Amino acid sequence: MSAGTVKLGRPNPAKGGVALTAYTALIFAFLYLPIAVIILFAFDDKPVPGLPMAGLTLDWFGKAFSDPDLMASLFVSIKLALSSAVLATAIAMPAAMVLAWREVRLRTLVMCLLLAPIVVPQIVIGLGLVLLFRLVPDLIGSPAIIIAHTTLTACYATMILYSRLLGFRRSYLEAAMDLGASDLRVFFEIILPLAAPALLAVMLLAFTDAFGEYIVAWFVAGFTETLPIVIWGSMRGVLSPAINAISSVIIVVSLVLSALSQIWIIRQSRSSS
Amino acid sequence: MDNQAEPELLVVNMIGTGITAGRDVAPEKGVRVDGVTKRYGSSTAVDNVSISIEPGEFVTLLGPSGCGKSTLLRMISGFVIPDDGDIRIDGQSVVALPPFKRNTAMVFQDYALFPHRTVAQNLAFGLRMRRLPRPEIERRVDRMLEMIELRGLGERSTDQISGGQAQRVALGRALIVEPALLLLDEPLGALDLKLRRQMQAELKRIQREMKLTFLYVTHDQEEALTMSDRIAVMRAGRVEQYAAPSEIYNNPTTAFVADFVGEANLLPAVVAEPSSGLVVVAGRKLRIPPEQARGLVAGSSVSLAIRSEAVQLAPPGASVEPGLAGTVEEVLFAGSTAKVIVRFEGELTLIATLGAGTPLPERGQQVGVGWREADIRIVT
Repeated sequence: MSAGTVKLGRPNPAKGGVALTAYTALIFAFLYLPIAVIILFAFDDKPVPGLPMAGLTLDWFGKAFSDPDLMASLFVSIKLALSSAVLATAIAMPAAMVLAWREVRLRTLVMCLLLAPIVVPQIVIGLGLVLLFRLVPDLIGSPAIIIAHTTLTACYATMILYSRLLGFRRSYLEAAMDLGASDLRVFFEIILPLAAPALLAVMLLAFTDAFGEYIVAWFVAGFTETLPIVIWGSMRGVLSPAINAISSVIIVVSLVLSALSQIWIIRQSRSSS
Repeated sequence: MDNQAEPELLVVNMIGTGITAGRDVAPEKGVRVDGVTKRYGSSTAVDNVSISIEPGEFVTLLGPSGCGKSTLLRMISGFVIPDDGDIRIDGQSVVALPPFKRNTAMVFQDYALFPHRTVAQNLAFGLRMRRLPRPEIERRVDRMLEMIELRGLGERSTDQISGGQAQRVALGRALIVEPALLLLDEPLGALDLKLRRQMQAELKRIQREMKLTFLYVTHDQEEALTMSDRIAVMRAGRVEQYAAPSEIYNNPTTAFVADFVGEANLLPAVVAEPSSGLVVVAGRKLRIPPEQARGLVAGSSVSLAIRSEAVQLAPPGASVEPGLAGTVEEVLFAGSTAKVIVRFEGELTLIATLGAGTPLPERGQQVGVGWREADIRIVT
């Protein structure tokens, strides 16, 4: 080869690699240090966690899982987040189908308005919901939290599903219809199976979001105690390392769940394209 | 086109049973497209089109992209609702029916094979929608796999088969429901030339064996000529000519058809003496066949169409009737044939297609050009 040959392919990893590696490490440290600290102190055997660590223990996990208040609020949170995730996805799917496939007048405006729950400060939404639920005080508590979280998550669920459906080949739907499938059968035979990975991803995202949301939930919770509300409440007293322990479990579970769903979605989209 | 010739249907036609209530009238068979129009905003995609398709016929809609052929196909399948006109399949008006209630099946340009289903499941789809019993579905899927020569590949997923195989699955999936009309939207467009030729023959064989009615859309005139019983040449939303391939090729009625199907030279001409068949082309009086001169008005402008393979080049020093002469501008060799472009005075050029073995002229050479009078067609 002549000297003038352009070298293609990966840049030499040895050159400038140190700086790049350090930079990457810094970014990940920035992202994960607060989380890592929680996990780390969950194993600290001092009652008031802090550096330097005196010794390691698993006691706090035992304490957390035997604390009835903490456990009750954990299950309340799971139940409510699951409900709002399912509801939000159920609302988002038809909306996304209309936006992606039907002629919608002022589509851009509609899409912008959809983003309102994201751009409006949560404290404002919380206040608005308080005023709203005064009209139906019976709903305050679990139903109100579900409704509030459905509102918050349905908007971006619609956006995500919309972008997925835009890439959907219309001819699949037409072919099914042409072969004798009614609208309902097209939905269950074609749309639902093909959109399943996106639906699952959206549901997972909505679940995690609703599970951890504190501000809006606090406004409409009444006497209902979700896990974030209990954690926040306990921080006014002495922060028990049991909170670190339960948080660690939640962090690990949600990281694993989202990683798994990501891998699944990537696999699915690879095989369908 | 010929809807005046049909008997008036004064009775209710019982769909699919052939039973008619009241007077004894033979049920209308085949497809009737009757004055169908579709407008998008200010543009008219399909403009008052009427064609009839007899049972078992292979009809092709041929035209350049944007001529309305796909829109017409989509109106017949039910994905587009016409603004005006009627479409009847075996006597029943279908314009008010949704696609899933029409007894048509479509082969899509991109095949649209369901990616989450196997080859066999794709084939079975239409039968499942018709709620046929399972053993019956399995039997028919097996038979179809055999027919499209994909035996043993039923359990493959759709991304584990080749393009040609996917094409056959798309065809089989539509054929298996035994539609009254099979619609094919440029189904061979994605295949390479060799495979396309092979599939053309295959399609023709299947159509003949199953005695099915095909409506085929293509912009490939060669494909249309090879496969069709009749061709409807479309342009700007209208049908220019609807006739058998040989008629379309030999007796084009419009300049567009002459130019689009095969390769025709179009020469602007002015009618001189209609009674003796004389027209003026580039200042020269030329004779045209008497039957072509019928109905022409002296002084009117027409086009004279001559197929490029009907154009003869004279050997050096000789001339051929009617004795035109020009300069060879380009010689394009294409294996079995060669094209010679001859320029006359002014802007006029003629293309001659010469068969293999014919001595080719040189560029810049003066050459005598002519044709047989019988090869001339007058088009409007």
